Amino acid sequence: MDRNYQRLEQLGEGTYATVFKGKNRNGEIVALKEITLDPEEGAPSTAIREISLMKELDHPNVIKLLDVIHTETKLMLVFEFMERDLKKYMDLNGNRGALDPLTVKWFMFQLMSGIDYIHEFRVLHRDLKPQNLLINKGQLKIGDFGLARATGIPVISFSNEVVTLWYRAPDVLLGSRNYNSSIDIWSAGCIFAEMLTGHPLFAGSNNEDQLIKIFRILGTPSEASWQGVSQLPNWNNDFTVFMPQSLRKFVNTSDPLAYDLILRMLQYNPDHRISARESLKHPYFNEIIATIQAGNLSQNRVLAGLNSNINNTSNSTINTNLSTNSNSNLNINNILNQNSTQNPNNAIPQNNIQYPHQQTLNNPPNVYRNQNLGQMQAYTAALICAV
Amino acid sequence: MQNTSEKEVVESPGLRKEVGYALTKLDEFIKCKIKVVEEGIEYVQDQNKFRSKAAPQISVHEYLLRINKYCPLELVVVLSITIYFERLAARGTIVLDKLSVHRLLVAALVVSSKLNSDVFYTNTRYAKVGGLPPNELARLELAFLLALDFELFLSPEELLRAARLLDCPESCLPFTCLSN
Repeated sequence: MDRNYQRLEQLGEGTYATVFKGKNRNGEIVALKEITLDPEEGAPSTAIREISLMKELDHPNVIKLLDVIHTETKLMLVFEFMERDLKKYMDLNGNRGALDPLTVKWFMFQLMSGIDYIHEFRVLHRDLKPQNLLINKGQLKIGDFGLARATGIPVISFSNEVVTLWYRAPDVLLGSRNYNSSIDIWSAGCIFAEMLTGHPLFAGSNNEDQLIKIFRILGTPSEASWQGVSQLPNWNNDFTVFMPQSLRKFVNTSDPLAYDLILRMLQYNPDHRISARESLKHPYFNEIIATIQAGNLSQNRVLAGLNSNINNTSNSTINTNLSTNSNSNLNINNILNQNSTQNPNNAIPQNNIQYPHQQTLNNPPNVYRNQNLGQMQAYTAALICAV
Repeated sequence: MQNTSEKEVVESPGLRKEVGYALTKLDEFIKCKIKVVEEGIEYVQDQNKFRSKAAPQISVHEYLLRINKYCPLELVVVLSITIYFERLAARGTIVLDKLSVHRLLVAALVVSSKLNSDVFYTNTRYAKVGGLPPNELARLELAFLLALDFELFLSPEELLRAARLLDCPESCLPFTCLSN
């Protein structure tokens, strides 16, 4: 389509676009999103939204639009290349889809940083789901802004045909059109739980079923728990009344702070839902903040730290792995390229990592004991992107 | 998010009244911006896409009212036109004159509705109401997008300025605009 970009294999096909892997003139790998222009209906609104918003957004946790090429019949969006989406990442690297707690924490930190940025920009994503979060070398970026819109502008109505059903907030399901950034937070809460368990928290088959799936776990809301709920268009006084259950029955993690944050994200009343900015200050992320501060925000420092750790752990499986490599290949890159699931029991000394909130917990999280090199890679990327 | 002519639309009547008033002010704004057509000037090709051979019979104001009657416009879409026309003027690639103003308007309204409003109509409908073939409207839409290089994002600050320009009471803007 354009001589500056060479099209390689097809990566995916959406409703209005086909995505290809591509190569630019410098040989760098990019993602090419081709959009067909209808001879009468012109450019899809999703394309106009995506291009105009992505041109403005610039954040390490938001996918970058590098270029837009056009012909009379096509638009081609050039994005930075990302290896896979979170859904595929979970299928590939998870334990039946479930990611280890530390990876979940890093991904959530990056997701909330990205959401915080777009909300500060007064943009609602409105379609956050694992398929729209892209993962590359441990870095998470928000993609697919086809349903996004600017908020803070005077409108007569918002559509409630937004957000894939499973990640749709109850206020939207109940027909609210006055929603705000809190709908993205609900989606983030659902994604959070899904990363920990490997399966969607509320997998409804239609609007009503979706509400029932939510009510079964969080309890049926009432005016007492959510003021104004009975005024929403789809509210039904005949909804079966379910009592709220402990989230621990559905989300298995040893970290009480994870439960606390999920529950703050899954508040029924949109006004009570935690904001992205507040969520980043939640103690759940304290160890990440501490790691970033201790790590001096430098990739080299982290890699160097990792290297010395490896030298110190003479009995660990890391060295066993290394010994199978020829000495000439014994370098940090080889270690980093290990699949994260291969050596789950590697102990990395904790001496250079601080846990500011550890003393406050009855059961200090054991996440670092299971830390492995794949996660360390995620770390490094996150450190860089968190700057 | 689909092209929704039949879908349920929740409206706030107050805001709808503001739209009619804003359209009158938009017409005044455009009158001030229209350049006198100069003989012998060579336009870039994209400019020609927007130019009629002779000025259309219908006035800009009547044209706006006609579009709003058959494809009701969101206030934000009306406000956005002033911002987009100012951006076009700053780029200097396409000149707003009495031969191009109608086509520029319909293209801008279509693009802005797709971007800034969750409720919009099919291009075919806009074309019928706007009085031009759908495939021509599609070409104008692309030319408009390219003329602005897809820089269509509206900041609350710009919208607030546009609201003042079109004399809309600030009460029609939500608090997120006002707090900035």
